[in-house]
Amino acid sequence: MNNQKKCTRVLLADDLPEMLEQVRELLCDHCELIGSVTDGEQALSAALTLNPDILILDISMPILNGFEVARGVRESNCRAKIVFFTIHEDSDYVDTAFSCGASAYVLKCRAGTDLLLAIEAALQDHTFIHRSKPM
Amino acid sequence: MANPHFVIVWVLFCCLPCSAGEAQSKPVRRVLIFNEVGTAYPGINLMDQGIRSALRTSPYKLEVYREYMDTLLFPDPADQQRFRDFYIRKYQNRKPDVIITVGPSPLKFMLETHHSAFPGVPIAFCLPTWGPGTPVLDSDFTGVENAFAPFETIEAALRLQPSTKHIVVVGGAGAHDKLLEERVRDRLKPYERNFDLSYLTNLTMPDLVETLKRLPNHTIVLFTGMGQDAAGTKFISGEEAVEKVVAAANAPVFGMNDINLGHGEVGGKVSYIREQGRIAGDMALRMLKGERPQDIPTVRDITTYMFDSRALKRWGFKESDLPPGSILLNRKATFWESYKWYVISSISLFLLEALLISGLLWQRTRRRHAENVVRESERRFRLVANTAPVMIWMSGTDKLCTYVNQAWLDFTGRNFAAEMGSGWVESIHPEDAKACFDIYSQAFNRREPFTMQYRVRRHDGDYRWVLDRGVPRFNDDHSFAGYTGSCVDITDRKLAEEALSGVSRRLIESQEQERSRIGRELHDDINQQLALLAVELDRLDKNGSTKDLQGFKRRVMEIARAVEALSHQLHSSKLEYLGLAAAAKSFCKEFSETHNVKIDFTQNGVPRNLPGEVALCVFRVLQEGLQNAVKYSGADHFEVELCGTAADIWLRVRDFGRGFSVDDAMKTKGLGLVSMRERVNLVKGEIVIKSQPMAGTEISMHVPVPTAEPAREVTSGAA
Repeated sequence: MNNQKKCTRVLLADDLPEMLEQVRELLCDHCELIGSVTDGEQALSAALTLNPDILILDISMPILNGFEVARGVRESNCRAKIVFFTIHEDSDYVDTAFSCGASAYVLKCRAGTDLLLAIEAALQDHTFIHRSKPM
Repeated sequence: MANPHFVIVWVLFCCLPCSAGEAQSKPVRRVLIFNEVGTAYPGINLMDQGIRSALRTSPYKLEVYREYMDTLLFPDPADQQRFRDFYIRKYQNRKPDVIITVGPSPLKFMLETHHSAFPGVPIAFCLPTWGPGTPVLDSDFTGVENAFAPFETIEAALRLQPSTKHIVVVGGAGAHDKLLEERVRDRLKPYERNFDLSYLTNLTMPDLVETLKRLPNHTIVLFTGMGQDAAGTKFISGEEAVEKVVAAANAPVFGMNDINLGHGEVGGKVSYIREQGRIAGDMALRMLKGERPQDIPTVRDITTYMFDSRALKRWGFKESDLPPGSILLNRKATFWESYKWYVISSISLFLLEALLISGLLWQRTRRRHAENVVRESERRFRLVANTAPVMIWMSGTDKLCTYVNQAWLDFTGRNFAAEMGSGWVESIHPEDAKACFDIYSQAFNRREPFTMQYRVRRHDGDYRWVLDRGVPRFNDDHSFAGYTGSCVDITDRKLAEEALSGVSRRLIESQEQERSRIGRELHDDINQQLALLAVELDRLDKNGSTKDLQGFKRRVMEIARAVEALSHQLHSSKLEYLGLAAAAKSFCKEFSETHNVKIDFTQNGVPRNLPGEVALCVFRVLQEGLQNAVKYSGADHFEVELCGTAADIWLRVRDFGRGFSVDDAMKTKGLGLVSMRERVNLVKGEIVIKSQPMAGTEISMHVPVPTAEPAREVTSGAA
């Protein structure tokens, strides 16, 4: 992972600045954080502009929600891997996220243990999901 | 009406004392009239009429004595002398105050005797025909000289008959006749040169008559008078002679005395006997008043043009050819002259009547027009009133009902007559009747508008609330005419108001319940867990073990889940992030698990990006429908069908339970059905709730999707 630090470019999208700070601290030693945005519209724009390797998306965001950003990214030429980073545990969200082209679905309450694993899985074209309750 | 006899007696009674007093106060004067001949002679009568007309104005009480010399009947001088002596003795002790002589003989009598017999008595004479030598009158005499105008008479005759060639003068053979003939000859001399002027004065009456029958054409006759013919035959009255002459003559006969007019004479400038009498009488009156005879000048030439209309007509003479100012006797009045005032009165009456009739007709036309206007106005009013969707009534000045419209009759189911007067009160609810009548009566007495609500029995027996507004009516002259009012059935409105009041109450209750629930959730669950976490953190200070940290983490995640669940209940985030279909499907799944019922959910073609208000409306109806179904149907199996296109969304929630009365549920139960309906109305949708006892319930709703945000993606699937 450390070897990939220089080459894994991550874009963060969350409407909660404190959460962005926590994730930044969590990933700063492992990835290159190329940007962080606080609404869906900025997220889609930055993704299309910066073309990151990993796009970490919250679902609940102003203007465009995470699913809409994901659909926008998938409909473009952007090849970024999408990691949903949310508090929603319901399987309907999970299903929707993957139907939108997500590579990983990480609950915020498990960020410390699952986020890096999810990024790594996504980079390897795998899917990552942690289900807190039976689907 | 007073008795006419009584009136006459009363008038006489009033006048008698006055007349007696007047007679007593007036001084008495005696007037003695000496006439030439008796009253059989028309000239004497005419003269006497003139004298009487003048004396009538006397301020004295007159004693008039008339004496007759009768010189024609008693021409013997001895007889005349006896008459004179008799009269002198007769009035020896009864002296007259004035004497009037009519004719030459009385005048001669006075000339010869007045100094001795009637000394100092003034004398007015008239009708003298002077013989040869005019007598000298002393200062006791004045009067009117008789005059003849034969020349002017012939002039007038020639104007009437311009073709005249022959003039025949007819007269008598008596002494007086000769005297006149002499004067006429003297006056007619100017005609001798141009006309054949002849005199028939010395003929007997038979010869005269025969001669007159054969007069040549273009002849006129001048009759001077005839007291006696050549045979000595006397014609006492004078009329006898003129009638014979006129009857015999084949030419028009003109005359010189007005006394002969009316017996066939045409007329002429005649001696105006009556006027001479009036002037003589007037002179006598003046002398009675004290004027001296010598101060009253003698009057001459009292003649006038006078003609007989019948004679003019007989000879074909024109009235227009008469001299100006002519007096026309026996003139038959024209129709206009005879009936002028009748005609004028009749025409006036006719015009007045016509005016009156015209006025009446005009008035009748106006009244009919006014009646038509009123009738038309009334017809329009009744048409409007009977087609108006409100009940209309009218009352008179006695508070009693005079009119109700068809809507009223339809409402109460009673006939018109039954509602009249006080009949309408019978339909009022007994509990409202008194208050209703009091309001009406008080407003009526003050002539003020009023509004009141009361219950009226409808034709089906139900009492319905009506709102009654009444206003006073006034005529054009501002007099009070009664009241007009209208009623509307406000039962539904009152029920709606009550329902709305209930809804508001239930809304508040529901809000409070929801707050209580959230409060309990926060207090009993989240707050308790936070308290528990605080306790465990406190323990961390003392122990600091990893095991404790894992416990804290688990506790925090549980709190997070609890908060999310509460949030989800308050607002479905799935609806926002996953769309209506996913949210509905998820809700059905959770609901079936929570309530342990079976829900068959199907959806087809529902756009994901529906407008938020549409998606929320459908979702809330689904939530409410399922909650009601679980609550009231008693069933454990439900069907939910969600269909959609880019333009419309349909939802159907069906159960197979007990069912219920929709109307009752709308009025009495909670907010569920009402809120569903209101939500659907807000998005311009429709909702139909079909339910019957023991036949299940089906809620169908349809919502149009606004075109501003077209759907982009369609999903389908089944739970």
